[in-house]
Amino acid sequence: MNVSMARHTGGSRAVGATAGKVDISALRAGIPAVMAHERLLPVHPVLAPLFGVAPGEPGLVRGHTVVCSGSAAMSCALAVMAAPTRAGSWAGVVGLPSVGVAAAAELGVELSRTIFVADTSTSSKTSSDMAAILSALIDGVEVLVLSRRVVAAVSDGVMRKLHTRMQSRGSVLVLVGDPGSISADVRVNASTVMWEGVGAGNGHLQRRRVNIELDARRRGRPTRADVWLPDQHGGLSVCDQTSLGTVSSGTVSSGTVSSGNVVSLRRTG
Amino acid sequence: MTAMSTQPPRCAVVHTPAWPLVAAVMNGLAARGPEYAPDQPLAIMRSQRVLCCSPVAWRDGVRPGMRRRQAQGACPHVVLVADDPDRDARCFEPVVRSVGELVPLLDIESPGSLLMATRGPSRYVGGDAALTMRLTDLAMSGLSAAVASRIDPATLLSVGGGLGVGVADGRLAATLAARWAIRRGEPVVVEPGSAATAAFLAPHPVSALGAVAGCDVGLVDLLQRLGLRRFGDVAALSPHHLVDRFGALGHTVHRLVSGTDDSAPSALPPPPDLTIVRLFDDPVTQFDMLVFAAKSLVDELGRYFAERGQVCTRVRVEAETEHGETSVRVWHRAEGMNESAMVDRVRWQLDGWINGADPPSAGVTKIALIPLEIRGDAGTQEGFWGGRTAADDAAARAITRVMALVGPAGVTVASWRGGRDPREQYRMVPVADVGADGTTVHARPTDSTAPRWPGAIPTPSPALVHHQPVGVRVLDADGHAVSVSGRGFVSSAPTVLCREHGHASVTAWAGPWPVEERWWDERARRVARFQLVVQTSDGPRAYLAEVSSGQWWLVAEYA
Repeated sequence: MNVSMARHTGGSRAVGATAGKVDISALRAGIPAVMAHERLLPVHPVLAPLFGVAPGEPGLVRGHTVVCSGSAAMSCALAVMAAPTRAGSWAGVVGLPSVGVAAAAELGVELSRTIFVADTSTSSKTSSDMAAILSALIDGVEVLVLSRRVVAAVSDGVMRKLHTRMQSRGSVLVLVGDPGSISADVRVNASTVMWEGVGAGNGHLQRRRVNIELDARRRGRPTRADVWLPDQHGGLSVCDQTSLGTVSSGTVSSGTVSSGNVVSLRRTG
Repeated sequence: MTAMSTQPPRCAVVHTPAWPLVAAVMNGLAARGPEYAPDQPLAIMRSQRVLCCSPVAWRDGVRPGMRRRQAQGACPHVVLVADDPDRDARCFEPVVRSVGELVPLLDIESPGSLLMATRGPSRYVGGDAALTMRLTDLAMSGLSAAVASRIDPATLLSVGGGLGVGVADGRLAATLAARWAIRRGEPVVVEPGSAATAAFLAPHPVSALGAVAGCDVGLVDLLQRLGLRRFGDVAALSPHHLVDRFGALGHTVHRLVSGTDDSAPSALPPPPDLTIVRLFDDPVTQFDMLVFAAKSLVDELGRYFAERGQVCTRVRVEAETEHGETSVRVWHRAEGMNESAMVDRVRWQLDGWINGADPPSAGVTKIALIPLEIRGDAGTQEGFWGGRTAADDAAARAITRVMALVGPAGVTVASWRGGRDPREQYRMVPVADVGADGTTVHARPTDSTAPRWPGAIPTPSPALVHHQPVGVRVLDADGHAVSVSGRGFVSSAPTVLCREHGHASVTAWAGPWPVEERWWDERARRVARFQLVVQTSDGPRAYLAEVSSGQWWLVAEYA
């Protein structure tokens, strides 16, 4: 992964200009060692096996574009941004007025470091404004979550420029929904397998089994995993392989997993 | 009695019962109105009834509360003076100024009545008794200076029933002591201590609660009809019984009558008024000129704060046009606003207003800056570990720039509010109002013992909460619309979900969970909520739906 390249080209050019003659070993010595955690943002432990660039250092590579699609795209995007915001990074969410903030909090997103920016492209503003907004945000936040409406409002050329800027700043772009012509580094397809906990008039939605398929550029075959997204507490947890056999197919299984977990609701007000 | 926990502050009260009469006479002496002789029978009229009357009129049978004709019938040569609160306040000013030389921090309860804390002044003049003498002298000298010694101040005050000075523990006891002092003709000092205060208060009639403490007339009447005629009778009751019967009011009444009312007189100087206003004779339509004018205002404020080593953290910016349209916003910055930061905020607000969706129709005639929160400028202390990080600073800068682009309302953070529905659990607050340091935003209580919202949809929460609920139809197996009865029963099991673009079969559902909220006002909401799992081409999808008045809405999706 040559992600940290953009940071170092500036330095090498300066050395080359002054020395006149390029000395490779001197250049190598001038390059600061990049620690793994400096070019990676943390990722949720459940997603870590999927995102693993190499064994032992799973994470979101800075500068990458992650596209979340499928019927569980929104939950998936929230799960991706949870770990970085927990670790102190800021996140910007643009053009997603209907994001479920409660679900985000349950998935572990640190809301005090999450900025929601209204999508003004529908009003009188033009796409250049959206480009200005995005480039201003890229300077400050390390995770940028965009809807496909926002991406559609920005021309391809501008989007490429933003992408370059993002790579030099080391932030991660998360797109929710169909990416269009954007070239994605990581494609995450999260499709719902089944919902559990709700029957014919009884129980309540408790957890959802989601099949996540991650396809990264310059990586072999896609990796797959089944996870609970969300689980009973709204979080993200591993779907235990041994329990798969016991859960019958279909959605009516409130008796098996939801024993005593249904919170009775009563008329209120 | 259990309510004896706090000792009320010791107060002094200088009181004249019928101050409006004194003011009327003073006004006449100052040649600002008709002149009245102090020995005339005088009465102040408010709303066609006698508000108060001079001792001469009282002797002839005029009483407060009488109608005009009744008063003239009792005393044919009574002089009726119209009530004028401005005149009362104006004429009281010399007394306030004179007493203010000794006690700078005064509570003017009403024209004619001054309240002050005695701790400092009593020590200064050597005791409460000496203080009452000084207060009397000061009030008299202030009055005689105001009327240029054309009349003896004691005679002048006798029109209003005399001057009483009382010292006691608590506001109510001191006021009653001052009233008692008028009747006795000399200042009254009640010994400190709760026992002495209670003993002093006990014989007073409960009607004084209405006259002095501003209690409801109905309550006083009820107490009297219950046979509780004196303060002592009420104080002898258990506070629990009073709270049972009258609620919070009962508690207040008990504290008042037992002498434990601890509401302190003001002991802080009033805050300086830092409002800065610029009025334009010619309405300004150019944005640059407005910003320039705002900059001069901000510089003025900045100089003020810099001189005092202070910094403003919250400011309200107001602008008004010739046609009366206004733009009012409160701006907050936790680390304080210097001049350029404040100008930026004024510029954003004006830009968002003038170039926004609802621009004003005329030029701006007024800009005002009102500092709301000021603190000492202690600089910004960088955190050692776990404080502000470089990422926080970069984010703050980026947020500031984005706010300039989309307007302050477009950049928000989520703040926990609580509620039964995913839509209302979090409130989006503009970053401009709370600052971007994340400390002012409420987080959801994570404590497992925190009380749950009764009737809230259990976790997990939906990941998509529709801004505008989507209207749908839900049918049962026979093709009839599914409805929910007033008692919360479903007519039949939902089977088909009909949206604008096609049908989908409902594979599982749960509910109804009825909610009747805020039935007491216009925000009343009466809905039944369902969770529906629908089979679509790309797998099952789960929705949160609401039925209200027979109409189904999809309010959120578990996406």
